[in-house]
Amino acid sequence: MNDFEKYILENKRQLEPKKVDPKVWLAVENEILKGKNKRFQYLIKALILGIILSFVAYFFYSNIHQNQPLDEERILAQYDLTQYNFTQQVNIKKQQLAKASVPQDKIEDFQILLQQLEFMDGQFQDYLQYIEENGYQEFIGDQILNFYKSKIELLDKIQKEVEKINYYENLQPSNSDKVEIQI
Amino acid sequence: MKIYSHLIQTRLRFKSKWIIPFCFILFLIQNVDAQITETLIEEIEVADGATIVSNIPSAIDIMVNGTMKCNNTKNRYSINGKNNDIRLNILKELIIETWDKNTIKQETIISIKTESDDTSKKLMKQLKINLKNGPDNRIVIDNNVNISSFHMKNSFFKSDDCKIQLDNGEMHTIEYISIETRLSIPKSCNLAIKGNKECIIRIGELEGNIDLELKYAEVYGRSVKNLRASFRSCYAVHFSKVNIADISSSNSNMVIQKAGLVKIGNQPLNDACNLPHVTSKRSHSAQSKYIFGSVENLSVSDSTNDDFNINQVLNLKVKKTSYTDFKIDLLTQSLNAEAKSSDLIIANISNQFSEINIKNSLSTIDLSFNEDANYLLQVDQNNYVEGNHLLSNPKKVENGKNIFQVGESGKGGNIFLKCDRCKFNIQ
Repeated sequence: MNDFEKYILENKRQLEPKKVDPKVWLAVENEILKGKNKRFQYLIKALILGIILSFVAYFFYSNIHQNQPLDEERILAQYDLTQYNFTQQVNIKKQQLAKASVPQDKIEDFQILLQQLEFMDGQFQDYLQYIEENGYQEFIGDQILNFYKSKIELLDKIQKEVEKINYYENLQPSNSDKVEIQI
Repeated sequence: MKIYSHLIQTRLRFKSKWIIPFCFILFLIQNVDAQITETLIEEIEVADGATIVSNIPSAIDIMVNGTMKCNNTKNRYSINGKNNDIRLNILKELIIETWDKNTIKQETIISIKTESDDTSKKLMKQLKINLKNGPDNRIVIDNNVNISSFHMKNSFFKSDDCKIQLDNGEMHTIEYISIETRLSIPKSCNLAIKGNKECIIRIGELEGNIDLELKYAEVYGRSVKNLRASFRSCYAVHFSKVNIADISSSNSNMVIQKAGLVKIGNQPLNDACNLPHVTSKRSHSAQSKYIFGSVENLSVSDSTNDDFNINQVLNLKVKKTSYTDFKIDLLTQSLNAEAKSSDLIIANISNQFSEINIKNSLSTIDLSFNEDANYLLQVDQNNYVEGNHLLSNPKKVENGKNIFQVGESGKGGNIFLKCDRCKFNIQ
């Protein structure tokens, strides 16, 4: 045994690593776990936030859809009924009639046609309500086509009657002031 | 270790060999077959003159909360749930056949699907047709047997929860139900149908009275003795022959090929059929199109903006009518009209006509006679009219009337026209 070996043998205990206090290990483990937990918590938080955001987005989207008013244009576009150019025809005819006027003594008789126009607008609201409640169906499309044909015929009728009244008014003036029919 | 490897091998063998049949069996278990179909039939005898009161197939109450899709066609009324699965399926077409027997027969085909075959059978046993002859000789028909309502609920997290409620209040969970009804009734009985939802009604030949109160319906009838009807937005109403018709309608189209007496606008429109947004000046008939083949007597009153297209009419009476136009191919006997802004175009007036009285304003009146016709024409001189050469040379003026004699004097019918701001074309 040489001196070195001898020295090792004598000081073996001192050279051996000292036992670490278990508290230290526990603290170290805790630190590691804390780090892991933090990451896990971040993940959970992100997940919850994602779910909340998805819900908010879903309800916001569905509310927008529900609150969006169903109008004639949208219905016709949605269900491929635009090919008939109904709204354009109606708008052109309404524009033509917007400035039309008849003698005041004729306006009362004329009201009934205007009321029928109001009725037709109300009828379209019935269709919209039906579509909102039950969804769009083929036969409702047929009804809408019939509705527009009737509405266009009614506007033509109003136009014809206005022209007729004014034709005779020019030939034989009634001295009654003219008033707009207000469509 | 040995056992474990054996297990793995077994699992692999199971996977490869049994997975497809296993899935198929699962599929069958899922889909076969808690749906059953039965035809319920009830036939009862009725007395002469009985009145059958029927609802329409789509009259069933529907209460839905959640996602619902409709995939309806013209003949079907169906409600689809969350995954577009059909839950309720009703045949909207109501076929009413008539026969010489004195019995009423209701035939309803019902298909039900519930969670199990047993439940479906138990529920099917509770569905019944209930035909009873009441003391007033009225028989009420429910096309949806004793099912009073259909309920469906679903949500984001919940699939379709469908139930039907029976007339006795019991609720039953179902997955699917379909209903089709067909009726056979005696020719001699009366029929009344009310409904305000879309439907198609086909009625056979009937000698009794028909009373219809319909909205958004199509009606196809054959020969009918008496018809009383209130229609709103019924774009197709057809009858081949009607002895007496009393019709009030708004925004509807009617075709009658042959009729005895037709009254239009004689009765006020039923509230459900009236124009909802019109608060005043309600008409009994408005914005409707009437196409008649041959009519003996036609009476039109309280009509606004209707359109009449008539092939042949014997007598025509018009009163309290405005903006309603008439196009007649042949007038045989008489015309009495009191109207405003109503055009009257008659392509041919028979030589046998007796009288034509027209009081009108702001309208065009075309009356065409045969070349050999004889008539005495009187036109009120006080009103502004435009006309053809016939009106330029009155034979005489008497009591404010321009009088014209066409053909032989003392023969033929009389015509009296009082029309302010009108255009006459008499030839």
